[in-house]
Amino acid sequence: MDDLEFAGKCAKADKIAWKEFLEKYSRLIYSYINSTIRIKGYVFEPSVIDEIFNEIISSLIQNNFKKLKTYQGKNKASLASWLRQVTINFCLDHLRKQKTPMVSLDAPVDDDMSLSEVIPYRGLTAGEELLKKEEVQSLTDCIQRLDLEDKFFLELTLKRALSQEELKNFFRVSRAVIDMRRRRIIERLRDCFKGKGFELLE
Amino acid sequence: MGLKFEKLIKIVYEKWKAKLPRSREAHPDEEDFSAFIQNQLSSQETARIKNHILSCEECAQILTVSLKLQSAPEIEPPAKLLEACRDLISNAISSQTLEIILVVKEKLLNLLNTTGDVLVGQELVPAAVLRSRKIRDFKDEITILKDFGDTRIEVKITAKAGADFDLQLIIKDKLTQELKKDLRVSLIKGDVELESYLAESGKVIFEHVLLGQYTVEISSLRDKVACVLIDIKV
Repeated sequence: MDDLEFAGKCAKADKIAWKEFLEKYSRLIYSYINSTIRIKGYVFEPSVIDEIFNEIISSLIQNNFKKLKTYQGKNKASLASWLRQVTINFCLDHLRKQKTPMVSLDAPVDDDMSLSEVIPYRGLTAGEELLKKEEVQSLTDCIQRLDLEDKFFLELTLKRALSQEELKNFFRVSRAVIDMRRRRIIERLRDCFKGKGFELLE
Repeated sequence: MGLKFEKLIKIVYEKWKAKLPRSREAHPDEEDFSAFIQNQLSSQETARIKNHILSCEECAQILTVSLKLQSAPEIEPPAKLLEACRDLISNAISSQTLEIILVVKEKLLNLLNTTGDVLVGQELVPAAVLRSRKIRDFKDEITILKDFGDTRIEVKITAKAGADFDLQLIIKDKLTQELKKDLRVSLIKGDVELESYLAESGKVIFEHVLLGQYTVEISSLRDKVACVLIDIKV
């Protein structure tokens, strides 16, 4: 029986299929709840984790298994990978609703490196301020000109601070290729920036 | 390559991102996300999701966590939690299905179990109460009812001369008792849909049903309204 057929049985309220569902997938759901909570920097009582687990199972069965029926096995997505995604999304939603702000995984803008430190300080005359703004605007233009792939790569590396290992796994390439890609994007931006008449910062 | 230039790129990128308008497109669903991470989408779909992620903070966070959690260390859920979940599922299934188990015994219908209420005279009696009253046998026919939200399903099973049955379903509005029309009623055995009718009058009869296990699904255009599981054996 394939995953879609199995999910279909569960959605038809088949008790035996649900018994098998819990045997096969409860560990996966429970593990991903724990990992998602941990990676977002939260520490919860086991009872809260249990509550989230219950809520996820409830979300699959309520309204006549409406949520479970959205699994269609599109693009060869397995039931396990779909449930993994459902669990992660559910946990992040749950955390968003918490009063305490979420601890962001994403790399913060360097507090220790302000714009004026990066762009050489040239005094506070109106003309110099304008030049600084122009530099920033030029680099913004250069970033905007990057193609979707390069922008997406910058998103994952700069904004989301994914490790080389995580990038390597996602892009299915070697570390060397990741390094090369990073260098090429920076080169492109450097050439564009220089082309607009600005000096490179060393 | 200058380290400061890289830092500048990062700061300017953040500023540029902060000014980007938020995506108004629908978020990718879990299947799309999962397929995206596993590189199983078409190049067009992949580009659509990348574009969406660049202008949707929620989805960008989902992707980040998903990529950081490509494999999670396995943790066994507590036995108590699983037990509670089994009950939760069992209750949910019971509330969404009407189960009827009958044994045919010398022209009598012997009710083994049901999750609905049985019509005895003018009274609706739950199966457990029937058992305590030691009422199990019904001559020729039995009528069982169950409410599914605002819909009341009435199942009448009538034994025929041979080893077959007529199965009648009456679908009503629970509050007004008016017949509900335009629901589809399908008789299924195993994975095979044997018969299916649009209940234009609010009633459907399946004639000459043989012994065995059947599922009757009552559905609207959008969703399944009710499910009746029938097991008739000798």
